[in-house]
Amino acid sequence: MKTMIRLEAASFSYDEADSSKTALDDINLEFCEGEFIGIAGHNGSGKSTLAKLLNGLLLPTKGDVTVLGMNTKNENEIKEIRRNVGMVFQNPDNQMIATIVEEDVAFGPENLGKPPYEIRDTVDESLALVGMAEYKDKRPSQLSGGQKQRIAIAGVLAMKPKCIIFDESTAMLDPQGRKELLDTMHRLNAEEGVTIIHITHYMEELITASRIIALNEGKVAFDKTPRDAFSDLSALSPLNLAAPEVVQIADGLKIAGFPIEGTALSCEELVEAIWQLKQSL
Amino acid sequence: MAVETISLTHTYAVGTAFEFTAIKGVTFKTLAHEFIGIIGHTGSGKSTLIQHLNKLLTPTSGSVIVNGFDLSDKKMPMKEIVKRVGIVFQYPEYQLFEETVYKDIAFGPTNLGFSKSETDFLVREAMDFVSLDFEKLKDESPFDLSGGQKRRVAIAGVLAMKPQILVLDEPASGLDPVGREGILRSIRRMNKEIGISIFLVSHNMDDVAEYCDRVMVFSKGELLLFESPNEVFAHADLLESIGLEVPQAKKVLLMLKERGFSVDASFYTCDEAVAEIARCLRQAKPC
Amino acid sequence: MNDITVGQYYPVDSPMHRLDPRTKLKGVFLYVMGLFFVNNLYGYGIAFILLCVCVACSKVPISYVLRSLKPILMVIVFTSIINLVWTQGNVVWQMGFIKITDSGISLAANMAARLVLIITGSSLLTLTTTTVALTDGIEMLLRKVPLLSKVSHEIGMMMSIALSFIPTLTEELDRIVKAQKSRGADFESGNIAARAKAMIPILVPLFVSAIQRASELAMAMESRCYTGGTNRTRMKELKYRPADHLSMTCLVAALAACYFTKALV
Repeated sequence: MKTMIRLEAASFSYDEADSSKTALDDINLEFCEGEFIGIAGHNGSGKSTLAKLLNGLLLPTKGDVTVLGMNTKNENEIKEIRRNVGMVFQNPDNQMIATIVEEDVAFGPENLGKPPYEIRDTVDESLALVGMAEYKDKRPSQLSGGQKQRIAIAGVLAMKPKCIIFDESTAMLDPQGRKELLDTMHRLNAEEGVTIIHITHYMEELITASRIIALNEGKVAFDKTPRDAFSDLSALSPLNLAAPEVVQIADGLKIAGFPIEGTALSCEELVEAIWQLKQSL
Repeated sequence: MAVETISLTHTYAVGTAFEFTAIKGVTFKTLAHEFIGIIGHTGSGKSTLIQHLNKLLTPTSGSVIVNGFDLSDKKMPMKEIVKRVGIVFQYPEYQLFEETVYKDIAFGPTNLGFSKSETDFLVREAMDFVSLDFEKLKDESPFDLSGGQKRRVAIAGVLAMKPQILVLDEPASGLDPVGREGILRSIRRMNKEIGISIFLVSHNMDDVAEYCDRVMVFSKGELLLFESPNEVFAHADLLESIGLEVPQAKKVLLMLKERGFSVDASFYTCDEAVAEIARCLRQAKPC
Repeated sequence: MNDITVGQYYPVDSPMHRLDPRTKLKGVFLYVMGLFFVNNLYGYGIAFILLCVCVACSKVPISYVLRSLKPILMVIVFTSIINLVWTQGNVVWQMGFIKITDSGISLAANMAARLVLIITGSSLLTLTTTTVALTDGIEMLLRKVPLLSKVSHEIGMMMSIALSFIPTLTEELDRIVKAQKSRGADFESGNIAARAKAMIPILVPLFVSAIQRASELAMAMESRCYTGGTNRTRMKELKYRPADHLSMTCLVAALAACYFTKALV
C-alpha cells in the first residue's frame, strides 16, 4: 500500500524551553492510503496536536512530517498538502465560513483557483456524496449539528482530498448526529477510497477501524487492530480509556471464570460467543 | 425538594411565522432527594423544560411548582428561585469570567447576599465536592485551567449557591471517559450526601442507567415515559423508534433472551449483566 | 429572532432579485443622492412612482416593505415636529408660543418624504439581495475605488464572516445571560454604574468565546487552502446582463426627470 502520511521522529512543543509543554514526543507513524485509522487518547494526551501536524497547521519542532512525499515544512507545497489532507474540526459552528451552505462548500475550490463551472460541479457532487444536496440553499444556522458536520465534510471533499482527518468531530454531537457522521466516514472510506483518520475518545466508534493508535503523555502507547486492542483491557485503563461496554461484559465473564472465545466487538458477536460457550459446557 | 409541573406548555415566538411549541402538556411530580434523568434527542424539548425550573422561561400555559411554591407567582423574586434551583448549562465553562477561580465560584453566593465568611465556606465546600484542590487552585485564573478543570469550576460556581435542586444539562459532554466518570460521581455524592435533588439531562443511556432513580423520556415536546430506568429500558422498541438507544448491556441480555437463553432481561448495567449471564451459565454447567 | 428579521432577505424569485447586486447597490446610492436634489411635489411624485415600480417588480409584499419603516417611525415624527416649530418664516398658525410657519411645513414635509423614500428604498436592497451577493457586490465595487482596491477582498471577507457569526454569537449571548441569571446576576436594578458593572460577567465570556471561535475559524480557513485574495476564483461570478443596463438607464432617466421638475415650479 502507498504511504499517505509519514511521521519521522516528530516532536512538538508549545514552548521549547519548558519540557512540560511538550505535547508530542518522538512520534514515528505511517498511515497508508485507504486505511481507516482511529486515534484515541484522553484529554491532553496530544491527539489534537497530532492532527494539526498532519496537514501542516502546526509544524514539528523536531523531526519531519511528510504527506505523499511532501514535507509539511516546505512552504511551496503546503497548499497541495492541505488539498490532499482535509480536516473536519470539533465545533460545527466554528468552521462555517459562508452564510449559505453551497457557498461554504465552494470555499475550498475557490481558494484553489478552479474555474467557476468546475466549482459548481464539484460542489454539487460533494453535497450529494454526504447526502445534503437538498440543503444547498439553506443557512447553516437552520441545520442540526450532525448536518453541519456533513457540510464541513462536503467542504473538504470539494478539494478532492485523498485523506480526511476528523479532529474529535463527533464530540459535540448527539447520538443521532454521531451515527450520521460515522456512517458518512465509513461510506467515504469504503466507496470513495478516502483515507480516514478519526480522532476520538469514544472507543466504541473505533471498533470498525482498521487499526487504533492510542496516545498517552505525547507518546504512542499502542498501535494495534481493534481486536487486539480490546483483548487486554488492563492495557487501556492506565491510558484513561474505557473499552466499549460489550467488551467489558465479555471481560467480566472471563474474570468470572467463563472463557469467552476471541474478542467480541459487537452485541451480535458477544451473544454468539456466549451461545457457543453454553453449548460447549 | 419536590418539583411538580401541571400541563406545562411553552410556545416560542407566539403569533409570528416562527411560532413553535417546544413542550406541550407536560405533567409530572418528583420527590425530594430524587436523582432524575431526562433523555430525548436534540430538539425534543429537554432544554426548554429545564429553563422553566428556575423561571428563565415562563410557561405559555400550565404551571411549575417547586416545593409547594408556584413559580408564576409574581411575588416570588428571581433571587429566591435561583437560591433553590441551580442550573448548570451545557459547556458551562463558557460562563467563567473572573480573574481567579475563587472569585468566580463566589459570584453566585455573593449575588445571593451571603456574607464573606459564609461565602468562603461555600466556595471551599463546593470545590471539595467537585474534587478541586482549594489551596492549589483558588488563586489561579480559570482561563489557565484544563478543559475538565474549567468544567468543574463552573459546576462548583452553581453548587456554591447551596441549591436544593440541581439541574445539569449534559455535564460530561466532550470529556474523556475518566473526566466523565469523575463529574458524574461528584453529582451522585451531592445527591447522596447532602440530599440535593438532581435533574440530569443526558444523551448517554449508559450514564442514565447507572445513576438515575427515575427517567423522563421526551420526544417532540411530549413526556412519553417517566419511570425507573428498568421500566424505561423495557420499552426498547419505543426508545429506538424515537432515535434513542438502550444501554448495550440491556441489548445483549435482550438478544440472549431472544435466542432462548433463560436470562432475566430486566438488568441494564454492565456489572449486573455479567452477574446474570454468569448465573445462567453456571446453571447450564453440569456439576 | 423577531426584530432582526426586519429588512432581511425575503426569499422569492423576481426580476428585482435577479439583478446584479452591483446594479442594486449603485442604484440605491444614486437614488439616495438624487433625493437630496428634489424639492417639489412633482419630483417626489416621480421618485415615489419609481419606488412603487421597484417594489412591484420585487414581489415582496408591501406590508413587509413597510415594516422596515417601523423602527424609524419615531425619528420621522420627531424630526418633523422639530422642523415644524423651529423654522422661521411666515406664520400660518399660532397657539401660545408655538408658531407654525409656511417654510416649516415645507421643510418638515420635505424631510419626512426623503426619509421615508430613503429607508424604503434601501431596505428594498436588503430584502431582495442575499448577504452573500451583497458582500460580493461591495467587494467588486470597492475594487474600482482607488484607495480601497487593494483591500477590497479583505473587506468583503470580513463582512461575510461577521455576518455568518451573528447568529452564533446571538445564541451564545443568550446562553451566557441565562447562565449568569441562574447564578443570581441582576441586570435590571441599580443605577447606571451598577448596571454597567453587571455587564462584565456577560461581556468577558462573550469576548473569550468570540476570540476562541475566531482562532478556530482561522484554522479551518487555513486548512481549506485559504491564502488571501490572490489567485482566488468564485463559484458565482458577477456578470452584468442586459436587464442590469436597462434598469440603470431607466433609473438615471427617472432621476433626471425628478431633477428637472425644478423648472416646473
